[in-house]
Amino acid sequence: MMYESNMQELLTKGETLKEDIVSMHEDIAFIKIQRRHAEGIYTENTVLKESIHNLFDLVPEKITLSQALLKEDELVLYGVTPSKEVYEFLLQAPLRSIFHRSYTSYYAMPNGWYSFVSKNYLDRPVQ
Amino acid sequence: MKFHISRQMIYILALAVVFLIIVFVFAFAFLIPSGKAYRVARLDTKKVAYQVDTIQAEYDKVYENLKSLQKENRHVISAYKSIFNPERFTKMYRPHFKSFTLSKLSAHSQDEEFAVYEVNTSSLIHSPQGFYDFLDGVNKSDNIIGVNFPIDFKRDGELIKSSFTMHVYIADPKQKREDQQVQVQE
Repeated sequence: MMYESNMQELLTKGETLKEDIVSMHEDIAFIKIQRRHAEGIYTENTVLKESIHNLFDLVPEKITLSQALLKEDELVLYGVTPSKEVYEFLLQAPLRSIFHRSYTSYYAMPNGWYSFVSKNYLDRPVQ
Repeated sequence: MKFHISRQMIYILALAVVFLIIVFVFAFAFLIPSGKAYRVARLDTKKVAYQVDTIQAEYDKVYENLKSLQKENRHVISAYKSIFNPERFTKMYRPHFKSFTLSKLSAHSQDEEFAVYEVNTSSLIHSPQGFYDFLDGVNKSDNIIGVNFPIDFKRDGELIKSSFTMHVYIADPKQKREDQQVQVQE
């Protein structure tokens, strides 16, 4: 009788431990998912910061931006430039090296400068 | 020589024989099989005890692993459980901006096992550095927050008006495992 009750206790304990192990494995898996997800978010934030930093570093002193609109695969810049050449050499060239497609429209201003709208696109590879 | 066995002696002998028979029957019918069953049960119990010890060792190993993971990722775990508090968030990050306002938090989508809430922000900054500092700070905040496109910077006199959306990620409270995690914690 004593061994039977001991056996029953041991079997119950074994089952409980097994259930707890399964549950803990699930918890471990979930923590790993959370960590991976959070690291992804943190990395995206850091990359975003670096991208914006690089964008503003790219703009030469001679060119003044009035607006910058950043989308996932698109960058739209509004600003003024003393001449089309200044824009093309100092800003458009580096933008072309980053983006797949760049389109710029110029509008002459009364003071001889140009306001510009630059639309730049990244083409995502088709999955 | 002639043995004389009294009637009384015969009774005693007969009783002794009967008693011996009873003892043997009892021993072979009950005691010996019980002893065998006892030894088998003791052996089985030892086997099961060994198996339980092995499971216990596995449990201890997994428990240690879980505890160390919980310790290492305490910030992330609590950040996924934290309820986003716009007032607290604004108070914490206002120093990076000239002005900083948040829209009302709204449910956005479900990203794997996380509920995603969206909040729109508009702010005024003196220089992009304020925005960089904000992005550094967001990665250390009480919630898991991703700053998302589109981001719009517009010149406003000497200041820059910026607007962007943020996604706040919260571990789905319906997850059963989350409750289990709390139970395991010391």
